[in-house]
Amino acid sequence: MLPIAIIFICSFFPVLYNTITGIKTVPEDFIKVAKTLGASPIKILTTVILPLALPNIFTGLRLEAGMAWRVIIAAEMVAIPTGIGALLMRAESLIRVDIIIVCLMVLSVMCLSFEKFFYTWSKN
Amino acid sequence: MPVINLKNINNFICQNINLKIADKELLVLLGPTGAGKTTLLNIIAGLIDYQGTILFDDTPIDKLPVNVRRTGYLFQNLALFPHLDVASNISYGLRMKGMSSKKVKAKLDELLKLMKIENIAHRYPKNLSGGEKQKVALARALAPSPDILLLDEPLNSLDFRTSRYLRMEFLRLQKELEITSIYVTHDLVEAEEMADRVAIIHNGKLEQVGVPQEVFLKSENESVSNFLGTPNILDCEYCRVLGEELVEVNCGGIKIIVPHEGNEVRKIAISPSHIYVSREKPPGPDLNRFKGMIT
Repeated sequence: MLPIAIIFICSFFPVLYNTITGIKTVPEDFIKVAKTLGASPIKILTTVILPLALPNIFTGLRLEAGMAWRVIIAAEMVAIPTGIGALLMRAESLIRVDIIIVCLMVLSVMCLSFEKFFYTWSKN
Repeated sequence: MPVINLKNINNFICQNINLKIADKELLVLLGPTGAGKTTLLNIIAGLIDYQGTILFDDTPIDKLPVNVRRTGYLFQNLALFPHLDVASNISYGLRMKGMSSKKVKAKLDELLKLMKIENIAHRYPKNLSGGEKQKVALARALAPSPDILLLDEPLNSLDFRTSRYLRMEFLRLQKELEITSIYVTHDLVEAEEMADRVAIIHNGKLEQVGVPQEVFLKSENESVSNFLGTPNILDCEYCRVLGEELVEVNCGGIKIIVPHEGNEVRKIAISPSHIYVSREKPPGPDLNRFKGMIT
């Protein structure tokens, strides 16, 4: 549970702030148009505000997808005895440079692929 | 379509506005920037707070929220939803009404045909020209069959030819659909060409209401005459059609070329704001330019 809690705490608020910023930047005229066309407040939220705030929401998700990996590795290095972070610490104490390099490569690939995944999703 | 009656409308700009708009009428709301034209449209649509009463066919609608007022609103910047294509933009209001997809499709086809935009149904707003955006926004406003159509300077950003073409298209549609409309502009030519009646608004007050000829030629007070300018009315001795909607008229020995569709011109009115005085000969074609001495 601890890794999940750490990922949640580190990723939730930046995504939330980006979502709020995205919602605030939706031009007032789009909301007015939707109102005059008969949309209820819920419909305005789901059909106008959220779709128009999506670029900001995805920016937050994309940034945090990479950041979540970095955070969890850091947590594993100091507090959680399993995972890539813990392996890195053990490799460091045994001076196993090969393991350290592989761990860093795995971390880089995971960060990049998660960011790429959210980037592709947002493009679609 | 209902008769619209505004009684003692007041808010932060509008001051005691009383106005009755007849069934199927096209009223042009004319005034300088900041006069309160858009605010009055927003009041009718229910988008901002106000004191007073608005009656649609003698029924007060003041307590009705915006989404049930049955007003079609064409905003100045058109505000087409960028994430929806033309068809989805137009059918947005129909879907919000809860219509079945079969009926939505039928109504959408009808509107695309009416506005002659069938070929752009699946394009997104970013890929449309100014005129096409204008037509799409108008179709979207008309889609839920509103009781009244509110148009806020929709042709502002278009070139003269496109703007004139769309004005004529809008007039055709307005007469065909017999929809009560309020059209906001600060362009006198636009107002003269379109209006059944013109209402002049200045500093939030309704200064004069009447048919265009009456309002343009007989200003009731100073603020109206300052805004419109007192036109120079010249009698035409003869006129000659030049083609392409241009006519050459002779007024007291001065030959002036004016845009006109018919064959006959008896009088022309030249607004002072359309007369430019220059010490030197300005560049460009030698059209409607006269050399003289100011004494």
